[in-house]
Amino acid sequence: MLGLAGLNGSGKTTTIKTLAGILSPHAGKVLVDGVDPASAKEFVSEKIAWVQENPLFETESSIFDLVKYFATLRGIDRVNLERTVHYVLIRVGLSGAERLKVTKLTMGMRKRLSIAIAMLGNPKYYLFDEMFNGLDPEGIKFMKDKISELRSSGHGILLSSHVLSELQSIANRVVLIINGETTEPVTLADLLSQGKSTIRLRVSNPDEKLLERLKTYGTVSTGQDQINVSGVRRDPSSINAELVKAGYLVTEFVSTDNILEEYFAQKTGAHE
Amino acid sequence: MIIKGLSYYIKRIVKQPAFIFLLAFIMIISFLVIYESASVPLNEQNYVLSGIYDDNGTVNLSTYSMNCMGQPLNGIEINITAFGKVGSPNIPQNLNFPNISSNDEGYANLTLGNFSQLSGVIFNIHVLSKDFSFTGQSVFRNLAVSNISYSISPQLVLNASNPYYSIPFIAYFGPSGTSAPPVTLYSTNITPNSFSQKPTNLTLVGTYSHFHLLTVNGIFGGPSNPDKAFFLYTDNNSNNSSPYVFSGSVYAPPPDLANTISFMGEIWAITGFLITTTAIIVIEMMYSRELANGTLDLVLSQPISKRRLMLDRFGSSAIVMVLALIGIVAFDYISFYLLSGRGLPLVLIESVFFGILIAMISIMGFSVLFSRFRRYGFYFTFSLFILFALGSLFAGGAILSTYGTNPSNLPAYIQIIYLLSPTNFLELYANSAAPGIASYFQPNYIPSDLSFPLSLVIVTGLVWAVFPVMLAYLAKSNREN
Repeated sequence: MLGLAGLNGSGKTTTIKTLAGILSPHAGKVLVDGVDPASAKEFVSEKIAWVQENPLFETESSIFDLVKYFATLRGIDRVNLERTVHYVLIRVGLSGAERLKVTKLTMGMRKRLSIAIAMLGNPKYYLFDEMFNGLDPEGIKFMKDKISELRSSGHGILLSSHVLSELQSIANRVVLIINGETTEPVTLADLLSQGKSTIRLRVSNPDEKLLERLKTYGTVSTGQDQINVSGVRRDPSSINAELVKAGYLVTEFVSTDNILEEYFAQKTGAHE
Repeated sequence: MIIKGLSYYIKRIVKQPAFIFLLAFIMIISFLVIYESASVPLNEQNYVLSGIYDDNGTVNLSTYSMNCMGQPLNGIEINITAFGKVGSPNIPQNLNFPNISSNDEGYANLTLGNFSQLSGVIFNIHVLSKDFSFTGQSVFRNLAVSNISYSISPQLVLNASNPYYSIPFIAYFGPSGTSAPPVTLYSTNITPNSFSQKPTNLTLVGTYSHFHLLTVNGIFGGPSNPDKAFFLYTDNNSNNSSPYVFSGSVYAPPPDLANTISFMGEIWAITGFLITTTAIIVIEMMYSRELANGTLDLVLSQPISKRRLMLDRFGSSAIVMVLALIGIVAFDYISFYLLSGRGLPLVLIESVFFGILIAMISIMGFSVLFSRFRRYGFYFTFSLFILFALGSLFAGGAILSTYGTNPSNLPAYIQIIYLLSPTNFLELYANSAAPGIASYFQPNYIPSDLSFPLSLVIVTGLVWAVFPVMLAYLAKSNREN
């Protein structure tokens, strides 16, 4: 799963639309499995599904009719048509809402519908454009789970977002688009080795040694009954494991990761 | 799969409130036309206008034969006789001339002779043809023509079934540059057989001197008024020895076309125009929104060919429009049949044909537009405007070919549709301006017959002004959606 990050207007959606064969590049070349969408659009489009940031459909259509129409575009034969439609709607949790008109759907439901349409024809790659925008926490969780599920089943995923914390939590690798140029892909492990996190923890049996130990991870500050460690350069989960192993009763351990943001800021600064 | 795609879009089109509204609107308008058309008698009438003019002492006659729609008729056999006082001494006598026949443009011309003295002569024009073929629009071929009315210069024969409310005509008496003696206008009842006789039982209409344009108001002809002939008659008696030639022409408009509407032309014009407009509006509403909000992008991301995409969209539009057209024509046909007891199968076929033609024009236009993948904006709006213009041009052409060159006698709503055609609108102004200029330089200029009430011109002018604004607003609201 590749994350695509950048500021608003940096060109994430344009990149995705180019990959999906909707737009043609003014310069350069886009290849999907070695094939240029411009020369073999139908072939490439079969492999790719695009999930829009703000899914807009014909509002007077019912969910079922809409998915059925897109199923025909995906070349699903008449025999399997309705079964396929029901299957993808079940997969995204819209089973039972088939007859609802699109105009009645919430943003979360529209995004689910968009994923259902994307699933038709079982494409090899999914292009998710700003999937988490406009979703409530439950919706975000659903999307993350669904994306993880698709990744687990062997699909390649390109996920664009300007919300870096969300991207960091789900993508294996990240490419930044800055001033029209892309950076080299970086893995989360790479970033962890470079980035900094903040840890907030509560320990029921704190002592002096605990503070000394925490100072080796970063800058320590205390307040009421919690301890904050900033500038952490290690994987927070390994710190938690070490504390437990040392006999501390850790009742709360919250890691605030901003490593991607820092990396982004660093790259942006470098460009400036 | 293709059928699924088409049916999906067909469902979308027919569910649109705008489509339903426009369809209902078309049906109401066409029903109004049908209602009016149903009162048209089958026996349409034909007219022969004539003019006799003096060309340096040579008296010439020119006739123009037309049907009730103002279209030229060829092969109309015309016999000219004259009764009057010719030569010196002025002895009343009958004069006979060879028959003439109207050409493809409807004209038949004849040099009557070089008369040294001519006064008080009435030239009678007899239309001999009762059964003739038409040139021009073949669509009128099947209309029965049995009654032939006569228009005799300077007499005007009125028909019993169609009343006139005013009779404009232009006459000029006397050789050029001389002042004409007073002329008295009489009317009298005549029958076709009495044309060669000097009218009797004259009724005085009025006395005029050296007039160019005279409009006589009143109700002439019609069911309650027997056929009546007007003729110009001078008070100069037989002893008048001065050279004197009738040199005028009856400026007779076609009969009141509101009462002789052709069902066929109406259905062409109205349905063609409205179907085109409907197609444009519906397609505009459906596809511009997709273009604007990105829904189209989702379709484009699917593994389908551009051909399939166009087939789905424009094919479905074409199917809906053609089906709507067939439905409307069927509705009109049945209405017409129930109201008049007559059926017009040819109308049905031709209307459907032209409806399909118009739909295809729309489809081609949008296909070309779509193939460029233009984002919604100026080009799209401009293309709609052009399509609208094409549609209304077509409708205007149909109206013009149906009613001849004088649509000013048409019902107001037909005139508005006529004026909505961009070329007709421009033509209107050209024709409005020309008489003013011409009459300035040429006092005897005959005003154009293309004259419309100012209110209608203003209304249609406003429509033309508002239309682009309306499209722009539509485009803006679609973008916002």
